[in-house]
Amino acid sequence: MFLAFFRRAVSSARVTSGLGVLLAVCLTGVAPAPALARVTTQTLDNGLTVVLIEEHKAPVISFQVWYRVGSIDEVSNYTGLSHLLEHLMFKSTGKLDTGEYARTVAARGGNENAMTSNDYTAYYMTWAPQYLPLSAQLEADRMVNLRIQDEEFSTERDVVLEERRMRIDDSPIRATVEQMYSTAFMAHPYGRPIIGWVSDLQHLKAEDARAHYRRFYAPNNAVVVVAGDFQPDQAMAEIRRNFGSLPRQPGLESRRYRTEEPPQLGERRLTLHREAQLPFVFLGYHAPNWQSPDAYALVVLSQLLFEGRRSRMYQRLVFQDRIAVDEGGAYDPLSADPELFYFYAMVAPGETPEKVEAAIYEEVARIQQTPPDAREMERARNQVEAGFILGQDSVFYQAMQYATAEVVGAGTDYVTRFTKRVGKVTAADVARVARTYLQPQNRTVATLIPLAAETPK
Amino acid sequence: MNRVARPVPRHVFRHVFRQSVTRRSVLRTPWRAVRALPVLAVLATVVTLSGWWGGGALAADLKVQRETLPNGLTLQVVQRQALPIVSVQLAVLAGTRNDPEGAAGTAALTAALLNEGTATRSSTEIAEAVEFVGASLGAGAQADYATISFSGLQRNLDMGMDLLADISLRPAFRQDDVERLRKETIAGIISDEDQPGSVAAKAFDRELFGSHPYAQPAAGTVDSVEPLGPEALAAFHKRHYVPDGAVISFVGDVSFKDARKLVLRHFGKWSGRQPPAASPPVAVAPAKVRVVTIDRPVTQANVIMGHLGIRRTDADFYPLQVMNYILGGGTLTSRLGDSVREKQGLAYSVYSSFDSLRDPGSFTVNFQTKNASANQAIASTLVEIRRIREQPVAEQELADAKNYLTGSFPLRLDTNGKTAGLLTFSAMYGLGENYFTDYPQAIQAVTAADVQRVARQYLHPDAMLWVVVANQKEAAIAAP
Repeated sequence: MFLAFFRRAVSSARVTSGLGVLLAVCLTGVAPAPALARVTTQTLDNGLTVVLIEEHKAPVISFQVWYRVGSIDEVSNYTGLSHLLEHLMFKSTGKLDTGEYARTVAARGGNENAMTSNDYTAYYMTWAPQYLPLSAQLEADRMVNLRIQDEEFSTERDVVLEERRMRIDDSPIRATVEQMYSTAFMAHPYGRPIIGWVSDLQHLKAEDARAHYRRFYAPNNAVVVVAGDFQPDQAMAEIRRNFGSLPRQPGLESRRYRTEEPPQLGERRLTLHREAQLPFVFLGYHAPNWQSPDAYALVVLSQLLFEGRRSRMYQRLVFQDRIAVDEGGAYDPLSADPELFYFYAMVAPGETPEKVEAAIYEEVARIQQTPPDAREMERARNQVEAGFILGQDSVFYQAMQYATAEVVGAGTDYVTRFTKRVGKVTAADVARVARTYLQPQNRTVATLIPLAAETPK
Repeated sequence: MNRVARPVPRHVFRHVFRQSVTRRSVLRTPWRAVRALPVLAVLATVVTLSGWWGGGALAADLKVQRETLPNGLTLQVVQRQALPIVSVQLAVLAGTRNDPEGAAGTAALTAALLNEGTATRSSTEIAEAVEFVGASLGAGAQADYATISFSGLQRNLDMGMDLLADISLRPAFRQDDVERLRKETIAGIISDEDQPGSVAAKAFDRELFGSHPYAQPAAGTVDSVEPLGPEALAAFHKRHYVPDGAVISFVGDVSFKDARKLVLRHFGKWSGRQPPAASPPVAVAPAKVRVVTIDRPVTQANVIMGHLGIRRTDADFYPLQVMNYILGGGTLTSRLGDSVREKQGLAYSVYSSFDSLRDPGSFTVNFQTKNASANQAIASTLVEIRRIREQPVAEQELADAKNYLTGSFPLRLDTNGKTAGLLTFSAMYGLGENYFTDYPQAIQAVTAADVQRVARQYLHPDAMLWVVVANQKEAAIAAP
């Protein structure tokens, strides 16, 4: 689904401005849907990008600040620093005590949280429109005034270690995914876990977090996105008042150097033997990101392979052959650097990962050799179009889509034009990109093999 | 606890693999029955319409039009025209509590089969019709009821209703489809064993609820699902998928008149009365602490501490919501969050919740911590439970809690899907037509004395069930 394409991030201090009116694309022969949301993008003198998405359907705003910093900016021995800093952003700023940020928002009926990805770190609150000025105050304050205390740093690092145990270490599938990415990306930082390796987390110091904060938290490395029920002029005035005087970080390049992943010249395979109930296969091919014109055809390809019960993977592995009990995959063009086009399957009891893997390759070969028929293409287009409109129902989600496009450098126009571009992809394009990118020498395959075949009751 | 059974794990991992890492656990619904979605799930039962931030724009927006048809089906409509989309949800009294004795998983498997073929449509035909227009159609069973939901563009509503009615009223339960889904369900139950949180939750329910159906896992067990065949599912469907007590809710770009017309066309001739209500034995509360340990090769102890809770209709529901928010419902802003996570760094996720159902549900505190810290986190939890029983809460703490509970209500209604779910919920638990306006008053009326009274009455630190899934050697749980 379109919804899911919008994730990670990075650089580009492009100066876009002007007004884009976002129109729902006219669906198969029916009158066009009404104009949905009004989207404007501006850049302040200090480099802060501001995206406003005006949408008056409910008295709610989502106020978000996205920083172009994530695990992609981390170096060896210091993995997990961006995410740990995200946790620390809820500590004292001098104006606010530790914990006061969360209490301030909750006591006004708001929900807040934050997240870190490969490409970005994002902070968001969703609450009543009357708190837009307070949102701007709180976020501007912690953009420059955070005070990281040694003791709080240590406690929060323990929390993150618990988070890692929960998410990765005690999850056979997540552990498999982590190791697969490390194998697929030998050089590029995408090979490193966002949450960090255990020993790195244990060795990080408060001063590392302070340095990371000083370097990356600045208006010229951030995007403020507001979606929902507000007046753009008033919102802009509040944002200027609170963020306008914050100093630009002069040394920070918007498009920073990252190790390029050398071309993969042959299949890589890895196996995990650990406690688990069912075998699991996770495989991926290096694929280009939004910068490539092939991205749209790859989106359609992923739609045909993975979306819904009519998808080829479901039909083949689960419905017809019944050798997997769960399957899927994804391709997301909105990454700062090229990422993976991946497949996964949980192997059905009594079946083998080899059989599942072979079936996946047969499906890949089939779409490489025979372009999809007209109806299948139309289904994929309709899904993308409908998904886009349905996605407007949540202001949080809307803000997230535009913010992701902006921080990875694709720009908000990418979102506006996405449906139309996808609509132009032909069946021949789909087969061609499948042939180009889904090649065995470009593939990394991870298999989880359960250690003990103990039968649970 | 969220007993939503989704026995067919489909596309579960999508985009979860490289998902961002967040500061607090995000309440996404994982791929299978999870126990307790921390705050949001609790608050879905805790909403209010006053304390509206802006003074009522959304309140005015939430004009619910209702009508009960002669066959017992209640129609609820909230018209919203901002976007050309509609969500529809039908709910029937066919929850997992209705699973026949010894056949846990029947309700969940029945719901899962609805999408897999009707008298005139195959599984593939249904999927093709829905997916061709980018819509979604699905069904699932919770503890007290089952839901069938459609979401799509307004112009596909007629088609969506046709399908929703067909799968709800005329499912085929073909042998081959039943076998396929049964296999998937069993595989799902087996792979749940890889999630320590799920292992703990199942054990907790089993131990707490005894012979009440809430003791059984929503998807069933391998042994209980194995014998389920087409006849059993068809019989369950015939008995429990009846209009009597059922509710259908529309939210989005549709008028009451049009929704009513659609409902009359598709459900007007639907008939049937609810079977006589079974009154399952209410579980008996133990008199002292009971510890259940399950040994697994894991790095963290997954701990659930709790005991019986209340019915959703209990008069003390509201003061308990306020009390629980202060204790552990507000996650990071709560006392448990502050002690266990913020001050001691023992856990990433810690929260408490009252799972209030048709029959008394549970009160639980739930956290994960490295094996070696399990005893420390358990002790800290007990300190906080005792403190809220023994000392009145501060006025500011009370005001913050009430303001959050009443003020965050619009966030429960800010999408069509969420609103439809809440309409279903309020109707299925008989919370009354004034629920949306009564709620804030009930919350705002709660005093510090009320909080202490319900804490004393409903929290029993000396008679709790502790379930600990851990590497037991490292955790070395010290029972009191």
